[in-house]
Amino acid sequence: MKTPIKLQLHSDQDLVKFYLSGDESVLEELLRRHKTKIYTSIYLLVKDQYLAEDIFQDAFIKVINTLRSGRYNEEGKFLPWVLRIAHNLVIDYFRKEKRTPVITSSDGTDVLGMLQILEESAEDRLLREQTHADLRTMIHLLPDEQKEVLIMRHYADLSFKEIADLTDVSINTALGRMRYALSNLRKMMKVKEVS
Amino acid sequence: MLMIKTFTSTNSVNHCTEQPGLSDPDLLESIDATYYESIKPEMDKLVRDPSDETIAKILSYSKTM
Repeated sequence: MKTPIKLQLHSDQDLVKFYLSGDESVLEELLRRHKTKIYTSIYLLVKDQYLAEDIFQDAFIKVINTLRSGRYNEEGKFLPWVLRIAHNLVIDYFRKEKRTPVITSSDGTDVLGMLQILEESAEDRLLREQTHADLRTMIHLLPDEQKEVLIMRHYADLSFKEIADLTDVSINTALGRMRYALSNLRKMMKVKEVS
Repeated sequence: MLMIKTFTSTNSVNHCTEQPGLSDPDLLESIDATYYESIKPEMDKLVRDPSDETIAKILSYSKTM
């Protein structure tokens, strides 16, 4: 087993090889190295701390299962690969949310919708009660595709090429979404300053 | 407030597809880069880490495999 200090000197690809050869300690180093980028990216997309924890955990379970099964592509970079897994899990979550059945009461009220409002997380309540004054709220208000690029670029530190690959668009589209995201944030900031 | 978007949004907020008012792409890029640099410190404050419990569960799962 390699010491923690020595592990920090190795690339992600080396750590993956060590892990596959049976060194469990390297997984802790990979998590230490990338957990902030991955978790922050998930959290800002789903806006719920506990949901983000679940998705983060599920993502790494998939990582472990894929590595153990020998299906990991050694030519790919580790972080973009994990982020793609997390990104797909976030998409799966939002798809399930949209498929939530609607039960209406006799007056036509969406009962489940009311329950969701009543059961909103503490964080959602804080966001709802705040004015449009803080950056996190503004990021949440961006169109999904712009928010995604901004988060992947800033928090996950992915290149636009990696973002384009992950989101299945061209590099120009990824670049354009980033520019529009910044432009929209700037507009919201101006509205905040005026108000 | 009018928002700039390029594709149909799944958000409930209504966004328009109005183009930015600036016609010079280089000027737009320099403004965007300058603006981005100005908000980076605030964006950095939003970073979060998963709980130690989550990390422990992942490591535990790996050991059971």
